[in-house]
Amino acid sequence: MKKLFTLVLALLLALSLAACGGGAGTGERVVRYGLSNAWDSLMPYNSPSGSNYSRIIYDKLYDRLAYVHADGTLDPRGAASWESADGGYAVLFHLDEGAAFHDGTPVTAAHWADTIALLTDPDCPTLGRGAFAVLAGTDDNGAAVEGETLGAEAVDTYTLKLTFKAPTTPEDFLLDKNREYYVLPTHLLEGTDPAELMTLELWEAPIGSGPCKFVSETPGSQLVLEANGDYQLGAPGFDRLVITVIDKSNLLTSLIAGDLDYYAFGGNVSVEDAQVAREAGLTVVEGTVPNYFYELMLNNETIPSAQVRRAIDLALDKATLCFQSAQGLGEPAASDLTPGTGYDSGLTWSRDVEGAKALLEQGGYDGRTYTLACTSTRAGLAALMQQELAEAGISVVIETVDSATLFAGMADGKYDMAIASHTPGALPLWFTESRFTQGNNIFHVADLTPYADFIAAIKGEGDPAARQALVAEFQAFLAEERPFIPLWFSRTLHVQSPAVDGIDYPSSTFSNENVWDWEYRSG
Amino acid sequence: MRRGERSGRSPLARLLRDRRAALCLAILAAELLAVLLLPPLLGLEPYASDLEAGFWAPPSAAHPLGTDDVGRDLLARLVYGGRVSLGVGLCSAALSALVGVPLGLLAGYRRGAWEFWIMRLADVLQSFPSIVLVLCLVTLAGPSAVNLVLVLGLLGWTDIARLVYGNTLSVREKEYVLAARALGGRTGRILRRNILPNVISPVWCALPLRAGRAILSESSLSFLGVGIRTPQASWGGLIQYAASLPVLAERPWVWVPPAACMLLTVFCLQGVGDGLRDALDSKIRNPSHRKLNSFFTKSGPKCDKIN
Repeated sequence: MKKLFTLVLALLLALSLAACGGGAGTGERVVRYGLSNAWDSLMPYNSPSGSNYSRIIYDKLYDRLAYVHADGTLDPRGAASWESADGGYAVLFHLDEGAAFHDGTPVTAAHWADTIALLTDPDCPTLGRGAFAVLAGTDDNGAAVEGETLGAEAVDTYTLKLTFKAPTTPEDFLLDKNREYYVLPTHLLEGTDPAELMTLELWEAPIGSGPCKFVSETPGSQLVLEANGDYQLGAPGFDRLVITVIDKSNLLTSLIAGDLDYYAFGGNVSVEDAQVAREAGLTVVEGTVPNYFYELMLNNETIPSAQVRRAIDLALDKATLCFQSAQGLGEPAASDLTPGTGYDSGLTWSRDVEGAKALLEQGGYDGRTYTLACTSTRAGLAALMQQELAEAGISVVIETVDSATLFAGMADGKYDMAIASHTPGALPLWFTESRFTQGNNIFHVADLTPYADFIAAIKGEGDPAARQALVAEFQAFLAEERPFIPLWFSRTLHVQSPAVDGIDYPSSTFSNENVWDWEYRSG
Repeated sequence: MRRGERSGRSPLARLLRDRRAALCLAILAAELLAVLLLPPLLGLEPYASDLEAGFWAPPSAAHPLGTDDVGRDLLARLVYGGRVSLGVGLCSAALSALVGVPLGLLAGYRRGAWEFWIMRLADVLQSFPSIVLVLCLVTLAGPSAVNLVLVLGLLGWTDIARLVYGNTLSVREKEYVLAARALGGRTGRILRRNILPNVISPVWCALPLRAGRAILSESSLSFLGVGIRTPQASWGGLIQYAASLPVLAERPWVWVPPAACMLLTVFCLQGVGDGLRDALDSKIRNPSHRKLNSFFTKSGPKCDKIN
């Protein structure tokens, strides 16, 4: 009896140990991937949030035209090469002939053209359709205009031609829009009413042409994918990718504990957490390009004087604020142009409290108290700003709100200023283009005309030197008007995965991950 | 004749004779004096950053408890945070009593529709998860000490009302109340003169516990980021720094003092509550009941209702 009991115990122990090993016991190479927020749909054009958390999932299941590196360079992906055409109004994409959907059907230019035609159909309830507004034959919302030729055409089986409303270089288009253009399996959608597209069962177990295939989903919690062995850029070096939603504060501890092999985006950690990671034996590397751009959003309606807005800019000690936030991994900014991208505003920044006081007097500041909104994680930063602005005589109260409320409050005009951060882009208009339109006038600028004129002129200028001159002129205008305050650019630190090699950590921040280069090493 | 008079010693005197309660009372008094007097005496400045000392500076002569993430003196913030936490705790407990006692009296004495609506309202409020309800209301009202006092105070009346209601049900049938009614006494006067003095004792011992719970609620809300408006300090807000792994592991001077202060305060409020219960309970004062009391005293039925 005692022997039997011991045997049963030993068996149970062996079983539990095998369970702890996950796929290791079966020889399956499973990469456990952490994500701090859930995706909201598996259909890339049905994401209400349009967040990077959804995009990083689509990046695995569906294919894009190119792979964008953190430094703004591009690599082939769905398209093997590209060239400008029609005097800069069109781009020809020569598709990779090895690309295929997960059901084995080759990806052709017709798939791309049909995808765009379907999603720009006014009857189709596409979310994020604005991404197509750059194409000829669409309106400002990206919907196809009846009677006009849509700027997406299959020239031959493997050549896609995109025609734009304004001259656009292939690089500009890809840097700006690549992460919003996916190819769908239109051969499975024949005869589908565009109005019914989002409700198809296909999106519950999607078939894409990305580097990973769908296996199963627990909505909002876990997504299991398997490697696409036929992916044109090479098969990922793992068998399964298990994506689990884990609270942000637990990502690093899970990595340290061995419950995760990697977490999006690029295993980012703060300087303080990096120390903890190093002490736990993990390798931490510094990002090579700026990953964050911090700005102080201003409500130009409640702060109508450009002098007062400039006074706020001069009163802030951006170096101290940057150090408090980025702890040595950032530099104060005088413009929104991303450092290292080749564009330069020629502007410099320095704090001048006395100059700020003089500008306040000129601007007729009446001593009113402004409301500064921030998220709870930036409450310290806001408190520091409050002190600095008080030194110049500007009175501020702080409202701590969640991110959605912050942006909604700025859009509604509820707040006078707000701290926000963004992932910077390599294009000179990455920040300004979308913020000075009637549809997204988040700074409540009274007259958008000069901004729109500058933006149109820069977009239409193909000559690099002339473009740089226009960019500098626009930045000088922004510095004079100061509709928002650029604060600083900062880099991030990446915790290296203890189990996966080949990860392009910096580029993960830009919502694409080179999973085809990943190689599972061991647990 | 009042209870204290009957036994020849006032409840306060009996409370002070209880060593544990007296010690707790002394600690609370010292805390109150410290949060009120230290800022002017030491010239503490809770909102100014000392950039020379730096962010997250460890304890030093200039900053005995170090500095926080933006270089503010943590001792100053601890003391000012104590004002907020104690203020919110004591004021919201008082507000709960101000609302709960009259409602409990009315429900227990008038009965009928009064009893139905007041006690059912209490049931409804108590059926919600309290932290979620408080969280929603504070988020709607906006973060501020006043809003916290209002929300915690107005939601905390149910325990006290139940306590008063239960005792009023029994007291309203006593001969002296019946006699007062027979003599044509008005409801308000009967409630004030005949019933309230005989049902209020459990409330006195419940109040410190209520204050302790309010302090913990304030801390929870500040920890969740919806308590006190930045840059104001509170003990909960200071403890929130411990949510960061490096602070928790490597900077104990940031979160240990506010956590210790909060723990000590809540413990002392519990001690005072227990002491008040003993001082106001006639059975405990009677030597013949002491043996029995020692069995029940740690979870006396009256105060246990609000735990």
